[in-house]
Amino acid sequence: MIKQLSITDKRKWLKPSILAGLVVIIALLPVIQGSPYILHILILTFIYIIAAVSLRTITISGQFPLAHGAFMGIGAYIAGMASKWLGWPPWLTMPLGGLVAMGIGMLIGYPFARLRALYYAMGSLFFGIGVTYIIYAGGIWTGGYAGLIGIQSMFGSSKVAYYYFFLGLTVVCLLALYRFEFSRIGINLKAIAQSHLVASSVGINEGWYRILVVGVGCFFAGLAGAGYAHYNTVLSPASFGFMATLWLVMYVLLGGIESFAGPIIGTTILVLLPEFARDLKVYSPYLSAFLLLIVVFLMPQGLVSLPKMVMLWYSERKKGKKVAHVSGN
Amino acid sequence: MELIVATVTNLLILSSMYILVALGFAFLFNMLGIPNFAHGAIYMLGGYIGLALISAAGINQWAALIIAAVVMGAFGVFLERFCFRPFVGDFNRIIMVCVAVIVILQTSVNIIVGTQIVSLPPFAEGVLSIGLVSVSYERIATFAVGAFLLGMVIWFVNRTKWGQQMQAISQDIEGAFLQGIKVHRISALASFIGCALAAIAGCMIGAYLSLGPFMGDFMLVKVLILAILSGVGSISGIFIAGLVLGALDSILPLFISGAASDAVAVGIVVVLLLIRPQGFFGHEAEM
Amino acid sequence: MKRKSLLICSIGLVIILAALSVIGCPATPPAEAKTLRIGMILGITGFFSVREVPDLNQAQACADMINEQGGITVNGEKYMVELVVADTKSTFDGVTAAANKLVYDEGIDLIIGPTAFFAPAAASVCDPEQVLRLNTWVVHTPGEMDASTPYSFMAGNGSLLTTSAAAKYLSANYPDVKTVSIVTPDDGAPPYVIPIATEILAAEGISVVGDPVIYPNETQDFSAFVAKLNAIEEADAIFMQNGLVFHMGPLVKGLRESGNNKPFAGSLPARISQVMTIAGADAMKDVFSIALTPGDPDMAPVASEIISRVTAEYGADYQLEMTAPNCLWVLKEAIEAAQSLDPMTIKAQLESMDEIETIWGTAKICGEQTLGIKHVVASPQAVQIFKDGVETSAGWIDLGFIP
Repeated sequence: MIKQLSITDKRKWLKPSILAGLVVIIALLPVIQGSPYILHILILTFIYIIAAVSLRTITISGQFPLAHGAFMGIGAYIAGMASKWLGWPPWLTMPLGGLVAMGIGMLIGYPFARLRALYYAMGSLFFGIGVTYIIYAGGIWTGGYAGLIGIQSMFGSSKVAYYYFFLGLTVVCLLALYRFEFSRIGINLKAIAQSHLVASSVGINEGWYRILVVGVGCFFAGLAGAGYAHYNTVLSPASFGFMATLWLVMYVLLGGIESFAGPIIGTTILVLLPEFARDLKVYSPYLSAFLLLIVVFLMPQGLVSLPKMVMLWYSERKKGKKVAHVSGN
Repeated sequence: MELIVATVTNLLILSSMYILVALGFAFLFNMLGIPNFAHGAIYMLGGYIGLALISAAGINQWAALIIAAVVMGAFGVFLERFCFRPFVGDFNRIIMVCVAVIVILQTSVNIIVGTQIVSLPPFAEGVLSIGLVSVSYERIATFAVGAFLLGMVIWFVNRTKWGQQMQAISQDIEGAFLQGIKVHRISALASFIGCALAAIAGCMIGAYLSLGPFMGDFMLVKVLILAILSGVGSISGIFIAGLVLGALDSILPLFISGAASDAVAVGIVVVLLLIRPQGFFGHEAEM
Repeated sequence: MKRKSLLICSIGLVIILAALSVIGCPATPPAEAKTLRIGMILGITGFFSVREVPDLNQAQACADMINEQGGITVNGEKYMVELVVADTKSTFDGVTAAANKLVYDEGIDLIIGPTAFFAPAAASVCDPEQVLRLNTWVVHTPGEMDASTPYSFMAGNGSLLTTSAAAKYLSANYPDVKTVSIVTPDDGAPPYVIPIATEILAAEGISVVGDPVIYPNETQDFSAFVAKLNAIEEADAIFMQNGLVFHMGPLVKGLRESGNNKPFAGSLPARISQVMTIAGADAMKDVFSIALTPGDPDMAPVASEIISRVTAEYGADYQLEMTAPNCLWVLKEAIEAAQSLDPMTIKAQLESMDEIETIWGTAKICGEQTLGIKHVVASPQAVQIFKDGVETSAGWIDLGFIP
């Protein structure tokens, strides 16, 4: 898909070269500017991109779970506890975290699948809250309120190594999720989302597909969480609670739920912006509230639709007609 | 023995506290299907407005209670018109709007008064001691106000025209439109009542405990649990749900750690949602 | 996915990243060569701000005082103190981000904060870079300030110190109290701090009875826990280990209302006037806490000066945390004793000293046996009670050497 060239000669080399430039900048970023602080933010961005895109993948089936932060937490704590108490190395704990998150996701996905939208949302919300409470109640094993410390670090204190690791991991995960979405399975899922009655009538097993997509989404969330555990080396349940889930939802909705690149853009902006807004000091929460309101009121389809909206407005204005409205869902 | 008596007393009063705080939320959620997540923040702000009225304008606390209720009720109408009505049915957007409201209210209150420990003056003084039971009149007042308001709300929903219109809306909103019910006006009224109830709860709890900019966060979870247990379309269910949650929160911490009791309570809610999504007393909803 | 949208969004992303590369250079050092930048990792927003914002303002008052007196002198050069604050937003992730910002972006290697269970998140960033850090308040969770954190010092205050003071005051003023029940918040510390508290009380001849009553941090209604405390009948007094005024107030209120009038020892810095706001004046008999009274004539001059400045600017009821200013003062003393701004030299200096001047007076540097590392600055503690209708200081307790 990325490799397809545009039709006109003029644009023949434009897009690939921009994408190539993008790739070069991202790949050489640690060399271009050496601040480990910026690398730290970008590493977090990579981790959250994996989680946000996996959340969006679940939504193509029409389900919108509100527990994704908790699944990151499950992956993180499983990996962290395996590393701390069993001494397992990261290349074992990370898949373990992903698999456990996937297993739990599919386990609760099964009874949740038949709930209607509102109850599904509330139920997943409470499940997410319940997971954080269980972690709090975990005593010495999870560290409870004090957090889980002493997790084995993957690359010591070298942020550059982490940067390239998470860059690679993100690319692999994004490729996997992209292939999943545009495979036969993905098409079937979209069919279910549009009309489950019609989908069933052509023999698509609705329940099974719904559970499958939840499992896939939760696997990557758990994987991202596990990666976070080995990067941060300390964990707190508060990082995976309702607010974390809400931020992930915001990443997806800001970028645009309709497109694959939407969550990537949303995550990048929403992770970077608060860091650059530190000067606001006591007033910085207002910025978050402002962003929330912008997403809710102005961008029903997310930032991805912004160029479309701008060009539509421009072309309509050129023709002298009244501006057509890009209708939301 | 004393422990049992104390626990039973705690149970009743805790239940009434939860019911009092949850009434306003249940009004919007169970009747209209609007999950007003900003309920906790409105409850908090109502308490602070009550305090401001009492300390700055020297008003009697019951009058301050009523004024705060009216003010937050008006805010509720504003919220319903601009934040809920455009997004009915879009759960994610409503949550995000509510979180924005919460953040704005909490940050503003925190910046203005956050670093001070404040509390409203008590609504009733003294302690009542009968035999093994020793309860402050303040807690009794909270219980009484909670019970009174619950009764009023149940009467309102079941016996008045507006209440019955709300029930119609909760059953089938399009049918309600077709029947000529002015849905928007009823929604505004429900929002007014819901937020006013939140403000009253904020003042009463603010007197019994203390005020803090983030006190709404803790209550929000309890309120959500209560609303789910009670079920869509039912206000009367709040009563039983309140007792159940009050019982869990009074008895469980005696045996297991605090965080574990919270986990158990939430676990029960999740299981209930799976088995019977419409709650104990609700009906099947079209949402 | 429309190709044109993908194209334009990619351009946008490129622009953002390019801008990052430019902005991402580390902050340039200030033009004046003689400023000493000290980092502060505190929660300016979020639920913890109720504690951290006053602490920060008090540290700023202390910094102003130091600068007015000519700053910190090292090798003949005078350095003005500049506090560089990074907001933690009261979250673990915020602490990590704040630590990263200060250490890597601002290039700071002397840091004050964070508080309590937030500390390990900062340690994971600061320790590998050998940044000297002074914890504001320590609740003794693992990885907070112990043998695993060689670059941290308990220079503010903490449970160990308030408990020692409370135990000493209790045994001196309530000789009939031989047993206590413990009530403490579940902030992760109980499994670690309760054994310490038990030992300290035992050293004063007081034994702990009954299971510790542990309540969740966000508890608002304490009735169940009051009932549990009432059920421990063999206790002569109630010992509250750490917590906030939001906890102590309702606990005292509930106990007194249920007829429990046993002495209540608050081993936490909750102001009696604020506890009284919640619990009512009638409940405050035989209640004390380890808190500061403004205008206390027995208070050391440095602390008195800071408090009078702060109350003049923010009001007489202002929260008096005073842990960050103490860290700052101890740091100043250590820098001047070491005559160096290098963190490792200052650390070695602190470890070689047996006592140091704090804003509260002279304090011993100790704690090797209790916490595994000789990094505790055992500042004198003030006891506060309710007498004749107002909060009053009940005297100061010099903790001496804590093993």
